[in-house]
Parts: sequence; C-alpha cells; structure tokens
Amino acid sequence: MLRNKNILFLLSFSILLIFSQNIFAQDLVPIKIDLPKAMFVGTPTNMSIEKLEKPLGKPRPPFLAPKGTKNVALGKTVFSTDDMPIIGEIEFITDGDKDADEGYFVELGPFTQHITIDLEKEYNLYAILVWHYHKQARVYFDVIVQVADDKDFTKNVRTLFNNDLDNSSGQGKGTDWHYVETSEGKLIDAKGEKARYVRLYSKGNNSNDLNHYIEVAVYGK
Amino acid sequence: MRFTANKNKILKLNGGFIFVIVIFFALFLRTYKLDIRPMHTDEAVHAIKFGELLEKGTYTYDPIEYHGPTLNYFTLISAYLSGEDNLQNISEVTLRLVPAIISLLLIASLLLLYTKNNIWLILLTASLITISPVFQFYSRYYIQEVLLVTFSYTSIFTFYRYFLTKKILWLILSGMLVGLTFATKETSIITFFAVFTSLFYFYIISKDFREKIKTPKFLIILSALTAASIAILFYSSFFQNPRGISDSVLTYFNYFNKAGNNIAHKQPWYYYINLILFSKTDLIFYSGIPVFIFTIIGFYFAFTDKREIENIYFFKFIAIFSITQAMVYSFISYKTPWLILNFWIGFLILAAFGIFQLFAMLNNKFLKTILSVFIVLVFVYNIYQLYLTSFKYPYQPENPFTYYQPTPDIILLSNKIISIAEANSDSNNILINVIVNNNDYWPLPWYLRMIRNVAWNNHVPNNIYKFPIIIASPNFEDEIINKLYSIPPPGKKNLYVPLSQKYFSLRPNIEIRGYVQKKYYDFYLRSFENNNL
Repeated sequence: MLRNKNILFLLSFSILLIFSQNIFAQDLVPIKIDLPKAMFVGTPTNMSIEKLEKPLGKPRPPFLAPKGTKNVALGKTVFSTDDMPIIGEIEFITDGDKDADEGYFVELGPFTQHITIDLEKEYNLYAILVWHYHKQARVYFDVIVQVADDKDFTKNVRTLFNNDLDNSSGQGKGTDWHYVETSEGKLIDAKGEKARYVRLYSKGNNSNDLNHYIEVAVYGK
Repeated sequence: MRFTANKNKILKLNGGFIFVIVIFFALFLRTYKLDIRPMHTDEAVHAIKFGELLEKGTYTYDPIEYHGPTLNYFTLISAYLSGEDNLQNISEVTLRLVPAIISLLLIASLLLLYTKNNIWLILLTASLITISPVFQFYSRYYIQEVLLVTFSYTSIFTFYRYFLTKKILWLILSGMLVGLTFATKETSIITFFAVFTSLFYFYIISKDFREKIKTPKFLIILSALTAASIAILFYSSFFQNPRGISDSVLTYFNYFNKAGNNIAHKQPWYYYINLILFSKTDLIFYSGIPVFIFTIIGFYFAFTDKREIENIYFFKFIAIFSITQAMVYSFISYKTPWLILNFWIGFLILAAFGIFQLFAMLNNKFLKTILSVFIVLVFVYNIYQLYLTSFKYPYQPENPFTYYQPTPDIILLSNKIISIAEANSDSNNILINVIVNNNDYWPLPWYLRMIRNVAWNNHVPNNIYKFPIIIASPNFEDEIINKLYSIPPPGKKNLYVPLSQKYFSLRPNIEIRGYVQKKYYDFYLRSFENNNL
C-alpha cells in the first residue's frame, strides 16, 4: 500500500519536475519552491533556547538564483550514520516530498547523526533547503551543513551553516542561530560553492533526542 | 445719517471679523495633515537641494534645474522654527509649511485692495481662493509655484495700492515683490510679459489711465532698483555666488529650449481647460465650471459695463493679465498642472467680481435669493471637491491634480529598507545600490536620506555583489542576478532574497523591486522578533 502511494507520489513529482524544469528553462527567477502545507499540531511547548529565530508567521520570500538553477539533489543517493532508521527510508530525504505526515520523514537515532548526499558530480551550489520535521514547532540542535569534494569529507570541507554553539558535535563552534522548523524549510546560503557532496548534521531536538529529515533540496547548476 | 454711519461701521467690523475667520479656515486647510501625501519627485528634488543649504550653508543657483532660490531660503525659516538643523531631521511638514503659509499671504494681501465699500467683495474673493481645490492642493506642495503666484499677485496688489494712495512705500514693496517673483522661478518672465501686455493695453486705450499711472521717474527707478536688488541678493546666494546673477539670465536659453522640446511633459493646448473645467474618474468628478461661469460674468462686467465701477482698472488689469498667461501657458507645449495657478487665481478674482456685480445689478429680491442659493451650492461643492482632492484621495492617480504622484508604496518600501539597514550592526555604513532607468529613482533619495552609503545608478555596475541591498527596476533583474552569481568567485556568491513579495511601485504602474542578501534579511527578521518580544 505504502509502495503504491510512493509510486503515485513519484509519478506526480516527476510531472511536477518536468513542468518546473520547463519553467526554469524560461525566466523563473527568483526561484519559487512548492511548499507543503503548514502542519503544526498539538500545544506548543515553551522554548527557552539560546539564540533562537522565531518563525516569521508568513511565507518567506523565494531566493534569487541564476537561470537554470534546480534541485540537483533530487533522487540522488543519500548516506547516513544511521543506516537502520527507526522510521522511514533514507531515500525519503531526496524524494522531493516535503509533507510532514507519517510516511514522508525518516527518523534517525539519537545523539549527533549526519547524512551525506552525493550529487554525482560537482555543481555550483547556491542554496540548500532543509526540512527536518514541521509537524510540531521543533528546534533541532547542532544543525551543521557542509560541502566537500569527497564522500568522507576530508577534502576541501566548507561549512555553510553551523548552530552548534558549544561545539558538542565537534565540527567547530557555530555562530548561526537556532530556528523553528516550519513548512517553509530552512534556507541556507551555499555561497556559490562548487562541490559534489553535501553533509548535514543534527543532534536531536527540543522535543526528543532523535533526528529527523523530511527533505533536503540542494539548488545548483 | 448717524444710523447709516453706524451700520457701515458694523458691516466693516463684521467683514473684518469674517476675514479673520476665512484666514484661520485657510490656515487649517493648508496645514492639516500636511504629510498625508507621499513626496512628489519635484518636492523630493527641492528637499534634497534644500538639505545642502541647511547643512552646509551654501546654495548655488543652477540655471538648468531646480528653479530659483526663494523656496530654499524661505524654508530656512521654517526649519529654524521647527528646530531642524539637518536633512535627516527635516520633515515633510516643515517643508510644505513654506508654500502653505505663503499661500495665506496671498489671501491676506487681498486687504490691499480695500477701499470704502468693497469689504464683502474682498471677503468673497478671499473665500473663493481659500476653497479653490486646485490652489489648496498645490499650496501643500513643496514646489515654487505657489510662491511665484503669491509674489506676482501681491506685487500687483501692492502696486495697485500705490495707484490708489500714491504712497511710495507701496511702490517699494511692489518692487520687492517683483524681485521675489523673479527670484522664485524662471517662468516669472511669463508673468512679466502678462503684466506689460496689460499695462500696454491700458496705456493705448485709456487716457484716464495714462494720467493716473503717471509716476515720477525716480520712483520708477527706485522701484526697479529694489526689485533688482532683491533678485541679485537671492540669485547671488547673498553674495556667496556672484555667478548666479548672470546665470539667472542665461538660464532662459535652457528654458526656451525645454519649453518646446520636453516630450515628457508635452500636452495639447487645451490641457489646462480640460484640467480645470471637467475631469471625471472612478473616484472623483471634478469640475471648475460653476466658478468659471462667474469668471466669464466677471470678464463681462469688467469690459462691457457702462456703470462707474469701483476698482474697475484693477479688474480689467487682472482680466488681461490672467488671459494673457492662460494663452501663453496653453501655447507652450511643456505643461504641468500646477502652472494653472498662474491664471486661475486671476480667474477666481474675476469670479468674485462677477458675483458681486451680479448681486449689485439684480433688483429683484427673489432673483437675489436664487443667486444666493446657487452661490452657497457652489461653495459647498468646492469645499467637497477640496476635501476629495486634498484629503480623501491626495495621492491617487484618479485625482485630477496628482501628476505622476508616488503612492504610499514608496514609504513602505523605504521603511523596509531602513528597517533592514538598522537591523544590521553596522547600519550606518550598509551599502545600498539603487538602479533605475534614466536615473528616475526620485523620490527615493528623500526617503532614504537617513542612509549614508547609497549608490544611485542607471545601470548595473560590476561590483553590484558588494551591495547587501539592491533596489532596481524590473528590467535590470536578469543582469543583476547574472552579475551577482557570475562575477564573485565560488564561496563568495551571496544568496539574495527579494526584499518583499509585495508589489511596490515608484509611481503608478512603475514597478520597483528590492533584493537583500540573505544574511542581512536574517538580521532583519531577528530584530523584528526582538522588537515584538
């Protein structure tokens, strides 16, 4: 049943993709992203988190990118430190589906975990959009986004985002702020870096110690 | 006899009292919510020009743009009284108070026409000018036109006072006002042409006038010297810029060229007739016809009535003066709506004269009542149109008096830019690049005057990626994006987001877009949150 549903979504997404690529081939800048519906459920808990950006409460503006920019992570292979997810499949991260419902996210184990996306070739990267989990107003800790030239992240590692304020994940002390997950996703400036591999860290959230990913979109050309 | 004398005295007192009320009513109309309308391009240009005088104490007359210096110098008084000593502190109200208050001088100066029995005519004229929607609208406009009109008409009034009393004071005062007229705007040459046309007419046709106007040569020279001194004083920036004196004459080469060749403001000869007599839009139905009917009646009485009418020379003079200006301004293809004031004020004076004479002519009480009712309706109608044009729809393009008027969008956009700049720790030094076709970015320089580092361009510079905030016409978007992401090396290509998803217009139908580096947008969001905690 779940498989059929996935096929259906893949088909729909493919149609959307073809359609969106056609648009990109024209003049669609700034880039607009199809966003899932907001899905905050339940009573929100108090958040006393250091350096916290609160949700804007209205749609974030799209970002500007050169013509031809697209989600180059779509359908690409993802590796994870937790290769036996508690819920979902690692492939969900790049399947293009950003809904927060059951069956769309992958749940990784506790403590610091990371995922690595192999873009299969080098791209000029302009933006990365991350959805961890937006069914609740959650804040994920130690969100670190890096790009590198090799899968093991030993060559030319560049950090694009880091809110690990106490360096508890060992990737250096970050200066970026924590943020509340929303259906908008978190937009990260990729500074036009040229890279093949994208890695994202996290270390639990304010609700539990687990790590979740709904989708990661990497915009480049 | 005694009763009549007392009655006259009472009438004069009542008239004087009502005149004061009219002045206060005009004061209220001119100054209430002066900042209700966003700054027009011309206002913003003059405001920035004034900023140089305010901050550096220097003014240099520019024979190509900006017109004469009186507006700037009179604004110094307004700024001083408001306690504002730099451009950043100056408000729209401080600036617009200058034409607003000077417009009151025009109304008050009608008292110069006072003779024995004409207080009610003066009152009627003052009332018509006070409630004139077009005069009201541009009296709240920081441009030279109301100053030009006030100085030119008051110079005529003072000269007429001299004509009546033969007191030298009035002649000198008239000379001063002529000097101010010349120092206000280059189009004063049209005013002078109309004055001389009118004088020439009387000189040819009326022996009586030739006798009455005879003035000793030394007084004429004294008056001319006074006028020249005032003009020299202003154009030379109070002797700081002697070149301004010759430039005030050389400027006419530029303006003669502009009058015929400026396509942007080219209008048909009947433009002013259309503007003032009939205008219907979705929001406003405006018509000056009810008043203009009385203007025609005023013309009729001025030239055809055989009775001995008090001040008839004055009204004849105003008639020729106004109609000459109307013809010249209609003939010149360069037209802007505020120029209409130059002759419309004369038409209003004649309208009041027409009403007054019509009353005097009618013997039938019933007809007088009908006329009174009609006049009351005209007044009510004018006040209602004044309310619509100056207060209810002050910036809407449907308002017949707005002219490429920016909408409040410009304020929203500017406030957002300023908020983003202020959210940055180094807000004073944030770099902004504004790129608009043909440098047509006004009035943004006025609204962004708080920010020090703004580059104003009409093309996309190659270093555009160094500017965290970019404001640009939509046609530059592709080039901006191309340069943002192609020129800097990898790792230095900053991500930009739109300043807002809202449509912003510089002026109606002229879109303007904004882009901001994501980092700076994030700072803005954080400051927004902190402010709302």
